[in-house]
Amino acid sequence: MTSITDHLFPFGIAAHAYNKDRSQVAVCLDTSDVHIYDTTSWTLLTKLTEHDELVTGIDWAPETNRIVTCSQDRNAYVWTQEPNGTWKPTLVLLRINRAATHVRWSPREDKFAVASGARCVAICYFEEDNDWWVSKHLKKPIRSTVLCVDWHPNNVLLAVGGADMRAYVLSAYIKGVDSKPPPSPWGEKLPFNTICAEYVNPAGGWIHSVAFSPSGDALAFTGHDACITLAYPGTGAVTTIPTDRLPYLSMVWINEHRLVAAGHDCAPAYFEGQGDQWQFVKALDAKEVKKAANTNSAFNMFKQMDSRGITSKNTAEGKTELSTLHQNTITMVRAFRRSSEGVSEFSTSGVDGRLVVWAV
Amino acid sequence: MAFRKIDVDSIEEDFFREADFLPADAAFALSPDEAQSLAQTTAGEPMSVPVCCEGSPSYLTFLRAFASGDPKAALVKALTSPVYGSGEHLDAAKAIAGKTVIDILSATKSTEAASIVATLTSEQRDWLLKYLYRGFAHPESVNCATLLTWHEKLVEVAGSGAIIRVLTDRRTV
Repeated sequence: MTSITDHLFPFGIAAHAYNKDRSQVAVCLDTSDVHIYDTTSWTLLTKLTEHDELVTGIDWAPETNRIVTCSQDRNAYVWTQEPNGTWKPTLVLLRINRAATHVRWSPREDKFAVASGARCVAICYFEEDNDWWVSKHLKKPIRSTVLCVDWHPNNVLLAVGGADMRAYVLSAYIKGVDSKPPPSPWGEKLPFNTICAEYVNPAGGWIHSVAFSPSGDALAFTGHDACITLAYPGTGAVTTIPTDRLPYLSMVWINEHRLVAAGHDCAPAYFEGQGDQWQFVKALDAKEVKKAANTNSAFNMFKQMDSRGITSKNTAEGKTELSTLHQNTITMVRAFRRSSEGVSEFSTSGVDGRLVVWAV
Repeated sequence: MAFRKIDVDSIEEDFFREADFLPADAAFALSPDEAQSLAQTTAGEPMSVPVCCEGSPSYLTFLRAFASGDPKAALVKALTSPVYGSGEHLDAAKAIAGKTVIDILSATKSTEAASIVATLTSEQRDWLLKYLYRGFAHPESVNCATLLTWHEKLVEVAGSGAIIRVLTDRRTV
């Protein structure tokens, strides 16, 4: 459980996405631009500059090698790579009147879901006849801004969480795109906008992240009340784990019995269990992280002055430094590499500008 | 002064009501009648119980326990079935529950605080923290030094997560 690579960007990272072979990474840097870097030399390869406002979400489809970005300018673009290596944007008709907040490709990469402040989720798919990405809106039970979405492995069900303090499982079945999904604990007949489940965050708080387990038979969600809730529709078991730490913003399932969450606490934390027996295991503190000891205090001082605006020599000597590797909120956790047992490495990005790959 | 005099939210057909925030199981602990009679009862003579109050036996047990001098059990009861929710009919009952909890905390030796906190479940700790903040909101009627000691002991165990939950939770005491 150590960090494998650790890169410090000179800007905070709102979201990141790797390509299939992990040789490139696209990062949203809290502006209207997205930068694509080479992950070995860390050279800037391309800037994606089509959005007018802050880019809020990004996802890179591994097989079809397409990037989708969404922004507060209410637009989403699908970026395809030309033979000469440049990226060409295609506008998506989202038809929303508020900012887009989050975007995810479906597992088969033929659809994507864009969460938005317009109290809906736009399910976008490619219409061959018009040569255009069009969208259908999931609206029905959603009462407020949608902050996060996650796809079920069957390519049809979508988990949705937002500022109405509820997590939903909805059907995003698109006729002509999807084949009929096999029955699952979430339901059998699944026309568009079927409400398969609705969970309330007991202690209130916006839902920051939702995630289906690898099999899709369980749902985890975490909110601003610093709780993680696990729901099993098959047995009806719902477990809420109140943590003694700050709220989590993002999470990833390692396997069916383990997940990792990270957020305002600045340290990724493990949760383990099954059914209604789930518990907090541990957070990865700096004490456990093999961090290269840097005894060069003058170097440290200038680094602190540069990256954090700290000028006093006393504070520069590490007194304001957190004991964790990330020095500020972690905005996103993603699976980096998978083995036969599940996720073997995961990546985190944070407001402190760090992009870290961790071994499980 | 508010910039707008018109409540624009009420014109929109699908606007968010306060009740929508509360989870389904956050049904108020007491009905208006119960809250009313509880307020009257405890203001006068805590041991005499009117018939309409029997709908919330746990609450009365806690009051009885407090009266019969078992403050720790009373505290656990108060934190197991707290009075929460919004609405004027609950204000009196919430005030009594709040005052009772604060009284128990003030009457307990500060050296015992840590051991009592250790016996509580995490849910009870969250409720206790809410009552502490309720106490801080009315500094004129409580001894804040005592409450701060409790706050310190409680946060040592429950961490910043509990504070976050007090801030987000709409089930206010």
